Amino acid sequence: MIETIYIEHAIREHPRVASIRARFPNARVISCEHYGEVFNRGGQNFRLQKQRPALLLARKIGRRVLPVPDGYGLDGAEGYYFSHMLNCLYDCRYCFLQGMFRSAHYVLFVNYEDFLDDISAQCARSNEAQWFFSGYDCDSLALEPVSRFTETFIPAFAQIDNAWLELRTKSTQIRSLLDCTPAPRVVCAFSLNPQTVIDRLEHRTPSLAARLNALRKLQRHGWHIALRFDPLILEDDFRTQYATFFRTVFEGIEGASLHSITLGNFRLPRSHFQRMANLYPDERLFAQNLDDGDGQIAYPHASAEGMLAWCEEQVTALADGVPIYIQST
Amino acid sequence: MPTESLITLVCALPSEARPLLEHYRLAQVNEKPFRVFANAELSLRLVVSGIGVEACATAVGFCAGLQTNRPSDIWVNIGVAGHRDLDIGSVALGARIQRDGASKNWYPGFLFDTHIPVSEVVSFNEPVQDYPAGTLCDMEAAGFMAAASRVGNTDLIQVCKIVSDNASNSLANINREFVTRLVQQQIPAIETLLSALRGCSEAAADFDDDTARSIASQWHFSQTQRLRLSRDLRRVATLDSEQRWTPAALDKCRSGREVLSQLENEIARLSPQFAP
Repeated sequence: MIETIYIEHAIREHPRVASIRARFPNARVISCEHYGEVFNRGGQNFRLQKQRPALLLARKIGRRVLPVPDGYGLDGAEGYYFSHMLNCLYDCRYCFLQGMFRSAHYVLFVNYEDFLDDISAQCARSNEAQWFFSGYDCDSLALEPVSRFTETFIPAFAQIDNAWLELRTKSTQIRSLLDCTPAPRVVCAFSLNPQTVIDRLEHRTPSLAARLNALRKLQRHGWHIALRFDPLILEDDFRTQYATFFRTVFEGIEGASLHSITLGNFRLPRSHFQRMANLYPDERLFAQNLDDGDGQIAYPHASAEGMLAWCEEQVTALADGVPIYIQST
Repeated sequence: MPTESLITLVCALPSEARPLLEHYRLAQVNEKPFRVFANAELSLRLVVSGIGVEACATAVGFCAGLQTNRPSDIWVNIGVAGHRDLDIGSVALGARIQRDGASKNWYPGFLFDTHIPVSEVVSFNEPVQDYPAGTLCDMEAAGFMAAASRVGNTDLIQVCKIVSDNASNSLANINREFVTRLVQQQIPAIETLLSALRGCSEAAADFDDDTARSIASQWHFSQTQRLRLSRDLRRVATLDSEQRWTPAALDKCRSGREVLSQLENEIARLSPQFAP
């Protein structure tokens, strides 16, 4: 799976580096001074690298905990994101990471304890609930067998009374979560779409059935579960597809006990969109009629509004009383 | 149709180039300031740069200026190098390339299957016999990377070195025939490398734009409109899954502006709608 590992010279002896290297004994290992030498260099092609990404092991310095963009967090509470990893195992055609990063290689920052120190410090500034999102620049769980992220972060979050963690994922890598006691302020948020959309746009991701299976197991085990219908993808038979899809999702889960649901349309910052459209000029999603306004590319206003209102109505009917948030950025 | 990528091989010495010229049947297409050779299809060329980082960088720049560079073009530096421990005649790819005394590093990508081992490469100004551990010592790779990474895709640039001297067999034993023989022996490995790179480059290929060229010759378009024409034609082709649309639909247009307007309407018509 991983054939090339770049390791920052300064962390070559770090215990997490040693354990990750041991998982990939046949990988070629290349020493670098700073991950940016490889990750941020010019003349890279994200699409080409996505075929065979390398793993970069690094130490995150500078700001590790950042406020989420307006409209990303959950209603009212302060929201922050942190990125122990950059990029994702999956290859979702709509994903903004393709437009944001020059490289498709995976970066894993191994200094977890520094992230946790910063999160504790942030929480100490207020008694109010504070939300932390780990799935902004990556899928929170997809690389779990390698990163063992939850093993360190979930017990640490349990020690901070006002810290909530959202693990946003399309992954079925839930073994570590089933092996431990559910944490009271950790929410497993699953990104879901109809199988036809998964087939067309969410390459290398688990099927809808597999995701729902994982979600149900976690719910039965006692974890807080949230649903993320974001991005909604406009197709000619949108209503038929999504009506069937919503019914499928809510079959077999305890809808009323869900933590939250979010809805959001496909949208991208203009600069990201242009890069992505250049990478995949034959992608229908980028070729179709889209509006350009306020620095953001999105479905034409009337369609976007109609889609969200219709989906909210459908979801409300199936999960009455669960908070529904509309995502706009 | 994707355009075929162009492979450029860069050798410092004529003796390094000779077996490659014969194997790929390359004929000379340029004499000065650098001798450049190419195959009949013009899909592979080789430039003899001369010795040294600056000469190699200049040769890459010269070749890059000979035609429009495409994102799928491949650049490979092939030559001999010293290494303290590796066997004479063994081959390695540069994983991290540096100029002696400088802090800048270059990292060619490995997005293809290869069994060729990798090594750090340091480019020196003079031949060295005091080999640093685990490092290939040459005189060109840093110049090659500095120039090639400006004009090409970093993941389609490679440094391929064949060991000509080591701690047991000094530089003094090297002559032209010996260098030629070393490169000759590694032609199969070089062949496999180039084939792998070509396979890898397909995802970065750009596309022929024949329809846009043909339409642009019938109406007047500004440079900006020409770019939009090309982009919108491709959008229509992407959305029109049943391929019903043909350029004949534009025949009644009286100007380039009308052509663009008609394409915009076609894109809107072919796009999915959310009916209220």
